Amino acid sequence: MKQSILVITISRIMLPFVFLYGFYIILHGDLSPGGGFQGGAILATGFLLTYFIDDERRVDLNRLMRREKLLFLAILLTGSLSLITRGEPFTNFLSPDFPVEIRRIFFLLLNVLLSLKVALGLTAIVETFLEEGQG
Amino acid sequence: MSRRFVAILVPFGLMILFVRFAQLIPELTTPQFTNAKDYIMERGYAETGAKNLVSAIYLDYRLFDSLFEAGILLITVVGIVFMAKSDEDVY
Amino acid sequence: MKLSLLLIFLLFCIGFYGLCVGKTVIKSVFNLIIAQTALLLLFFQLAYTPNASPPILDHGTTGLWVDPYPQALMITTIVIGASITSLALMFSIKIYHHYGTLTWKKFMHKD
Repeated sequence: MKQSILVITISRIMLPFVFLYGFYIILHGDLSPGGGFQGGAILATGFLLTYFIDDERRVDLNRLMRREKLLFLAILLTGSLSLITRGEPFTNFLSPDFPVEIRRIFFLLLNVLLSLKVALGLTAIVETFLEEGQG
Repeated sequence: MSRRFVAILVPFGLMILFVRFAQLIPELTTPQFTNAKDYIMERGYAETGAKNLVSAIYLDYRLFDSLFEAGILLITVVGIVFMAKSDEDVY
Repeated sequence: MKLSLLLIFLLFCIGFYGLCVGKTVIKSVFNLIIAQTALLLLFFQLAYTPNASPPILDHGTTGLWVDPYPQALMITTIVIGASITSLALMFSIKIYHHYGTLTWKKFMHKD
């Protein structure tokens, strides 16, 4: 497939801003509109832009899926850590006695993990369809 | 032809349920039916520590839902990759 | 509000009719997405309050708030919808590889 030089140049300029916006959405997930799922979708969109730059680029699917399974285990552990620290499952693992700025660590951790998992999953779906179309 | 008949009939059967549900709508938006909304507006920030209350719901009150929602995406990806890979072995 | 609910119901009817009557697999997948969009619009419409603030505590308060529960539920629906759509498209690719066609009538009664 022949690529236009305009599309390649504009994609190269746009790529860091898309990632920056995605990380902004993720890290401000509990202060402003946004969150883990939405930011992960934006990161996956930024990954799609790299196919406009170089369409010969390939990712190893097995490595992607292994990382996604590990991230899912990490999310489950983070969610159920409160069973040990507070005695009730599936809530914040820092008790309400802490100030709000410290309890925000839980939201940051879970948002980052969820967004990376969603981004890897959507990337794997797109990559599978691309291989299916070309193979 | 029967499929086309069913395709017109079933939405109108659903519409009876829908109209019955729509009669409840003025009560849904008046203040006496907003217990959950008032609760989370008053105490959501103190209990969870998130200013974005949507985030407070899906990361604290309904965290069990969100965890296995991520699991659904994982199972979908595994299924899609399995279907794509098993094709090359057969053909 | 009544008119918008009627329009949402009409959108759902369009999606359901196309899902039943559509001639190819790809059209059925498209109509599935249309019906799901009608469901999303229904929930957002039920939670809508005129002149209300978004449910974020730093913004200006007018005393009225939008209910945050339907928005938190719709995140789940959007992710499940993306999963269902990608699985359906993968199945349609498999059907095309196996039967050589995507028309329902040509492969419905074959082995």
